[in-house]
Amino acid sequence: MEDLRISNDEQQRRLLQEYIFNLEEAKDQAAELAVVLKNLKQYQDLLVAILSCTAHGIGLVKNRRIIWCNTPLSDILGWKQEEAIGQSVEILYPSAREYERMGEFIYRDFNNNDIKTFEYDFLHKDGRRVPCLVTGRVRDPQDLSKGFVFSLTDFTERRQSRQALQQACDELENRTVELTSANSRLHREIEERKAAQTELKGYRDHLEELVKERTAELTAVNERLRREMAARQRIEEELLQAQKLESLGILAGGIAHDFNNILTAIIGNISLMKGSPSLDDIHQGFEEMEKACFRARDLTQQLLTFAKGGQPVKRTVSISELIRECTVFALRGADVQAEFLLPKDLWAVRVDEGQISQVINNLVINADQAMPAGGIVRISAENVELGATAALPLPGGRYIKLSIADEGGGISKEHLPKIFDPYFTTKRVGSGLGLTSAYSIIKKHDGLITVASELGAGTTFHIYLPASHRKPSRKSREALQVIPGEGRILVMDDEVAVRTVLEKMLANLGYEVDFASDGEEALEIFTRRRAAGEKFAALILDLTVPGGMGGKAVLESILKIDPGVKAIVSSGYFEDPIMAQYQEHGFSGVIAKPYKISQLSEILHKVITT
Amino acid sequence: MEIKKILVVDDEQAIYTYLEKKLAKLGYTVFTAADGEAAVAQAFAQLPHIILLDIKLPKLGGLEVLRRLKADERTKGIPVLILSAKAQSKEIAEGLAAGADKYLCKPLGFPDILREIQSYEQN
Repeated sequence: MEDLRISNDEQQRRLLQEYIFNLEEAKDQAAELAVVLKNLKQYQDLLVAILSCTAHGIGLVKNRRIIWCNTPLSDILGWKQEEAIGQSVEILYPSAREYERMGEFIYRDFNNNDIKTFEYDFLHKDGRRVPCLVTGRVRDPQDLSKGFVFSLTDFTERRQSRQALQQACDELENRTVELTSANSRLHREIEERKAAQTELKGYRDHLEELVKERTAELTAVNERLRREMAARQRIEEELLQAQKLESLGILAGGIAHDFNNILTAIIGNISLMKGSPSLDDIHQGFEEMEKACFRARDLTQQLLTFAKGGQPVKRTVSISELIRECTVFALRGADVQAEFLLPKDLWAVRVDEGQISQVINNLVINADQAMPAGGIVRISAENVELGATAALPLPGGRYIKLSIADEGGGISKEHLPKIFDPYFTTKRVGSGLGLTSAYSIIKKHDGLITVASELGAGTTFHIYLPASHRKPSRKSREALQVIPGEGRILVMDDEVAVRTVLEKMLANLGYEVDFASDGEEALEIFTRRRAAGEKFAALILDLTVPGGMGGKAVLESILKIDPGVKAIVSSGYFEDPIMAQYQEHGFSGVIAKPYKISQLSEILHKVITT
Repeated sequence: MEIKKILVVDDEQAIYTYLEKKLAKLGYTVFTAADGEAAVAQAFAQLPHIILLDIKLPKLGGLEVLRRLKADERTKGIPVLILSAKAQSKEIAEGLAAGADKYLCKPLGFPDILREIQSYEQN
C-alpha cells in the first residue's frame, strides 16, 4: 500500500515535471511571437510608407475588391484610402458593363506570371474620367483568389504630350512627303540638266571640230600671207636700200656744201691773217677758224647721229648762250637778221650740246633759206609748266619752250605732214635730213618739236625740252680756262697725229706722257712703270683701236692689276654706249674727239683731283 | 570553476530535449544520454563540468551510474546533481550516499535548475 502511494507520488512528480517544462516552453514561444509580431508591424509600416512615397497609385485587389491601396491612388481617383479599402472595384468603372468587360480583360490571360500593362480611363469619385496607365500582375496564376497587385499612373499629361508628339510626327510626315516630292522634282531637273549638258557637249564637240577646221584653214592662209609678207619685206628693203643710195648722193652734196662753207671760213681767215699786221686781227682770225672747226666737228657729229642714232651725251646747261651762238654761226654771211628774246631766268636743261646745236643750226638754216630776199628770224625761249592734261603729247612738268619763227613763204598744207620724213625736201640744195634728225634728237631728249605754218605768213617751229633741277655745269664752253697739272699720263691712241698733238698739249699743261699705239703696248708700259714703283696720274684710252685691244679691254686688264687707276675714255664715236655710260665700264671720265686744250685740262683736273 | 560542458541524463525525451534547448541557448555545450550505460560512456568520453542525473534509468540505474563515476579517478571530481521524481527521504539519503553533490526532487522549473548550476560556477 505504501509502495503504491510512493509510486503514485513519483508518477505525479514526473507528469508535473513534463507539464512545467511544457508550460515554460509555451511561455518562451509566446514571447518570441510577440517580438515577431512587433517586427512585422514595423515592416508593414515601412512598406506602407515606401508604397505611399511615390506618384504612382499602388494597390491589391482580391476577388475584384480593393484590399489595400496607397494614398497616391486615392489622390488620383478621389477616393480616400479608408473609403476605398473594402470597396468593389466597380466604383472605378463608369458602368457595370465596363466593370465586366475589364474584369474579363484583366483576368483572361493570367496563365503565366506576366506583367500586364494597359491604359484605361478610370472613373474619378467626382464623375470625370482619368486616363491611367496600369501595370500589374496576379500574385499567383494558379490561385487567382490571392489577388491582383497593380500600380497606376495618372496619364493625363503624358497623353497630352503624346498627342503633341503625334501631331509633330504627322507634321514631320507631311514635311517628309513634301520634301520627297521636292526631291523628285529636283531629281527630274538634274536629269533634264544632264540631258541638256549632253546635248550642249555634242554642240560643243561639233563647234570644236569646226574651229579646228577653220584654224587649220587660217593657219594655211596665215602661212601663205607670212611668206608673201616676207617676200614683200625683202622687196621693200631692197627698194629702201636703193632709195638710201640715192639719198646718200644728195646727202654727200649737202655735206660738201657745208664743208665748203667751213673751209671757206678757214681759208678766208687765213688769207686775212696773212695780210694783217695786227695781233688782234690774227687772234680774231684764229677764233673764227676755231669756230669753223667746231662747226665741222658738229657736222660730223650730225652725220653720226643721223647714221647710227647715237645716244646723247647729256650735261646740264643754260641754253641761252648755245642758242645765240648757233644762230649767229648759222647766219654768218646771210642776209637774214636774228632777233632774240631770251629771258635771263630761263631754266637749265640737260642736253647733248652738240646735238641741240645741230637742231638749232638746221632750223635757223631752214629759216634763212625760206627768206632768200632777207628778213628777220625771231628766236625766243620761255619757261612753261605743262599740266598732266595738257593738249601736247608730253607728260606734265617743267619745260623750256624754244620758238624759231621766220617770215618766209610758209609750208603748204600737203607738205606739212611730211616735213619730218627722211629725204623730204622742197629745196634744190640740202639733204632732206635736217628736220628728220632734229625730230630724232628732240625725241631722244624726251622733248617735242612741232611746226605751225601758213602759206605767205611764215613758219614757226616750237621745241619743248624738259627743264632740269640740277645747276648748269658751266655758263659756256668758251669760258673754259686751261688748268695746269702734274704727274704722268699714259695715252693710248692708234693715230700718230692725235698722239703728236696730245704730246704738245699735255706738255703745255705740265704733265709727263707715255704713249702706246695699242692695248698690248699700253698694258706693257703700265706693268713696267708699276714694277719700277711709278704711278700714272691718269690714263687716256682710245675706245677703238683697229685690229687691237681697245680702251675697254685694256682698262679691264689694268683694273685687275690696280683697281684704283683713273682712266678717261676718248673717242670720235661719241654715239658709242660706252661714251654715255663710261662709269659702268670703270672709266672715271669721258672726252669726245675733237677737243680743245681747255677741255682736256678740265677733264684731267677733275679726274685726278676727285 | 568555469562550466562549459553539461551532461544531461534522463529517460524522458521531453525532459532532456527541453533542458538541452534551454541550456544551449545560454551558451553551454550540452550532451545527453537516455540510459545509464550511455550516461557512463558519455561521461568518460566528454568529461563534462557538471552532470544532471535521473535515478530511474533503463539498462543501468542512476545510483549505479553515480557509483561508477565516483569510483573512477577521471570522473570522481565532477559535480553530479540528481534530478529525480523519487522524493522519499530514504531515496534521497541513498543518492547522497552514493556520492551525489545535490539531490533535487522533481518537479522544478528551469530557473531553479539553472540557479543550482550557476552556484557551482560561482564557487
